[in-house]
Amino acid sequence: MSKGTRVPKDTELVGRVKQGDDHAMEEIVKRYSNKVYSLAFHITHNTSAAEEIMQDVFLTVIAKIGTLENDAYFATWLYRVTTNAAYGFLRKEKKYTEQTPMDEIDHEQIVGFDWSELPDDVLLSDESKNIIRRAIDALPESMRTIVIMKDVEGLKNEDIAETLGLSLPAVKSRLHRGRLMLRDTLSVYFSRYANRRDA
Amino acid sequence: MNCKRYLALLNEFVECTLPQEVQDDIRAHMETCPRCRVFYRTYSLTITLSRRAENTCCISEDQVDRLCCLLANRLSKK
Repeated sequence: MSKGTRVPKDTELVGRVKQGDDHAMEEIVKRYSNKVYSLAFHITHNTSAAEEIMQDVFLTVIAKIGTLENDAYFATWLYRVTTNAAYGFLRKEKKYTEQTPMDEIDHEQIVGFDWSELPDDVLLSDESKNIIRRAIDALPESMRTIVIMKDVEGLKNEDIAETLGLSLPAVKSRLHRGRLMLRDTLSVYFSRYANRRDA
Repeated sequence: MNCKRYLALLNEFVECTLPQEVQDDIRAHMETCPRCRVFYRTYSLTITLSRRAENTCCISEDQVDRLCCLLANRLSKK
């Protein structure tokens, strides 16, 4: 972008889309399509579903943007629509079942092996990546969505709270519990290397 | 600071959102507690690995263009 080019704020673009301005809509799509697609993909793990969801989300924007009372909340509204659509897809496909959250994680059961010192080729192996993906997928939905939004998509806690209609402490708590569960899974997985190092 | 309180605050500690004196208390606790030190390292690494495990994905310019055409068409009919 050339120096001095004014980048319109979301609120301005949203106001123009409400008036039927297709150039503003195009700018919104360019700004958010990757984020919408990425979030949908990381929830569904399905490229064609993510593309379909992305299209549906922006059609929903056109159909319902008039109901958005505060234009400043456009991004969080968009993420909420995306998240709902992605879980709607999973439920329709029956690929998602809510799991019972762990009320109390027994950290004493986890071996205190410091796997952070393992070499990168172990930590970043395809197998360990698969373990993490499966562990994220296995989280209860209430934690999974937040872990994806925060640790995969890099959204702020405040935006996640607004998107999901949760309080900030609730987001932090679920994020923490989700991370603890993931860490426990990784600790069990990587503990196999503890014996090899001790040998 | 004890291990239980440390664990409850770890999430905010890694994000540096705690008051400075609490951050310092946690660091002091980790100095004396090897188990919590390991827990901090593995917890932090879990966050890093979660980010790296999921493939970055993006859509093509063609897909964006097709979507823009569809939406412009839909807008014109509103």
